[in-house]
Amino acid sequence: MSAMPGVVAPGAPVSPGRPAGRRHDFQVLFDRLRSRSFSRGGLVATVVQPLVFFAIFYCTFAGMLDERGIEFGRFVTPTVLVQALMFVAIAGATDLAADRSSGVFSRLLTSPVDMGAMGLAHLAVVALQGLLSSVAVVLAGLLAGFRFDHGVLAALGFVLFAVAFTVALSLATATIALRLRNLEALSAVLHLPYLPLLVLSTGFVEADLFPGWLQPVVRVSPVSGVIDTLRALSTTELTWSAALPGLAWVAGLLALFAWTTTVAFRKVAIR
Amino acid sequence: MTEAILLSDLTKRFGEQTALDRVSLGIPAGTVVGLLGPNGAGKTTLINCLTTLLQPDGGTIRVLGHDPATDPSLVRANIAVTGQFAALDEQISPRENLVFFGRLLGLGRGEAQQRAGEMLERFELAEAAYTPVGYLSGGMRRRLDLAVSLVVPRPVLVLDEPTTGLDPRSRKLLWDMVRAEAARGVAVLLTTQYLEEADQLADRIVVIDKGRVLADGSSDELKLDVGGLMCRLTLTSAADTAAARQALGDLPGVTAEGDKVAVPMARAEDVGAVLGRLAGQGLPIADIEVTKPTLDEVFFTLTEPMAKETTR
Repeated sequence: MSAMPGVVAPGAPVSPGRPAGRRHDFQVLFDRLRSRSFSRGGLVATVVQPLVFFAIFYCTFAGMLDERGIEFGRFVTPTVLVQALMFVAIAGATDLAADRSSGVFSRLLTSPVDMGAMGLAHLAVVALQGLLSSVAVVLAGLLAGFRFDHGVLAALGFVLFAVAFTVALSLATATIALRLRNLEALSAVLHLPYLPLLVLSTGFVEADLFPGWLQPVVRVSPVSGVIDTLRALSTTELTWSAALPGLAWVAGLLALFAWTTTVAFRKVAIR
Repeated sequence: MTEAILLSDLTKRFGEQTALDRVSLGIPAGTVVGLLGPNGAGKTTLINCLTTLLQPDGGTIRVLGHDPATDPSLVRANIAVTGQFAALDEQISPRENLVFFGRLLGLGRGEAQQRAGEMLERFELAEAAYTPVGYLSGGMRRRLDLAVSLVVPRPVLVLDEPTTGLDPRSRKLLWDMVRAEAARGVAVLLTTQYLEEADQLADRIVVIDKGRVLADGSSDELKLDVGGLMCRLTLTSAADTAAARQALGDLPGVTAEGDKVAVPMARAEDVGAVLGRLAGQGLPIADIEVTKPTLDEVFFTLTEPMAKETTR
């Protein structure tokens, strides 16, 4: 057998090792998470599940909205997308928690792995899943009447913004996954807020149609902001006033949760 | 510098509790050191400090001269660790686990594949190479865990209770592997609950309890330290055991179980005094044997005074 670097034949003396470097570590970590997200289970979560929800919402709401003169595909596609991206963020955190409970996380922390590469690989895969979900939901939306009215640049902005939202949300769920040890508790904490956030937004109904005391909540909701930005980049009028609140929310959430995730990660990694 | 691992005055506290109290320990290349101690003695804390999972509160650690506080990744690059519980990706196969961790340790794709194949053969896992880890038996997982730790050989190997839950055949496989690693110059630190394992494998045994090193030496040296010989008595009736213990109560390290009493002795002649005391209390003896102590007896003798201290 010819000699290979890093591989030692049984019985041969062992030479000291060196870390492989951030770029190498990122590539290896990314490959593992990516192949997991493209597995059967991973694709069900990122592609099949949003399409099933899309079909259910279509059957339930399309007729009702039509009576009010609202086209389902144009109005609800961004909402279904936001919901799908929430599931991506939840699934990402569940994977992270699984790595913690299986001990893979500890093994990584005792391996010469670049800590930054660990975080970046997680976010890169989450971003990829967000992109995949966005493409699936947009294609389904196009069948139901969804259109990009403002050209290619706005369409690219739409997808980019969706991916940024996925990353921001995934940082939030990663913080929780790093702080909570108990898997059942984690699942409850992650699934609890998503439905109220989605329902108490402009996703399915305009803010004016909510009871008066709920309207302020709906108007300031980050989910309303994000959905309104997605609509501005596709089907409604593209103005700064429509797009800005969502952009501000995502930028703020990115900054806040990047910080909380870093703190939570340090706490787990260096005790 | 000949010591692959060097700990000086290592101290770690968790709140009020001192988990490691000025522990000093050196392990040269090619040496197997067995770390023994009861549950909660500080074994895992020591390993976690050594493997960069915990930051010590005092003292120094050097791994091949590298300091985990300033060069954690160089320390990690030189230590292979197997913890108490298997640390594997359950959703992928043994082969994929080996390739993944091999690549993380710097192997290219092709090298990692070839190395994974070799490890699957060596650890008798070839049949299950493509089965998701979640479906493997406990023993297979444990073997895979070790294979993953050794996929790229490193100069220091740390094993935290590696044979817990292994069948005798897997245990022998592991023992042979540890010996082979030591033979090619790897410094091995292993904790174990099985004293026989330490007796079999370790060149040196370190006994710790309540975070303090109680003894450090070869198995024979420890047996000599505790009392060169062990007098094992079998009483005619187990009902006499308590009375026998009382009769021998002021002698250090006396242990009793069922109808058997063990008394450490410095010299063989001391057996007369022991028998005299029992005869004085009218306690009949069925059998008597004077031998070197077992490692179990050494362990109990060393850790017993500390157990008394806590219960007091």
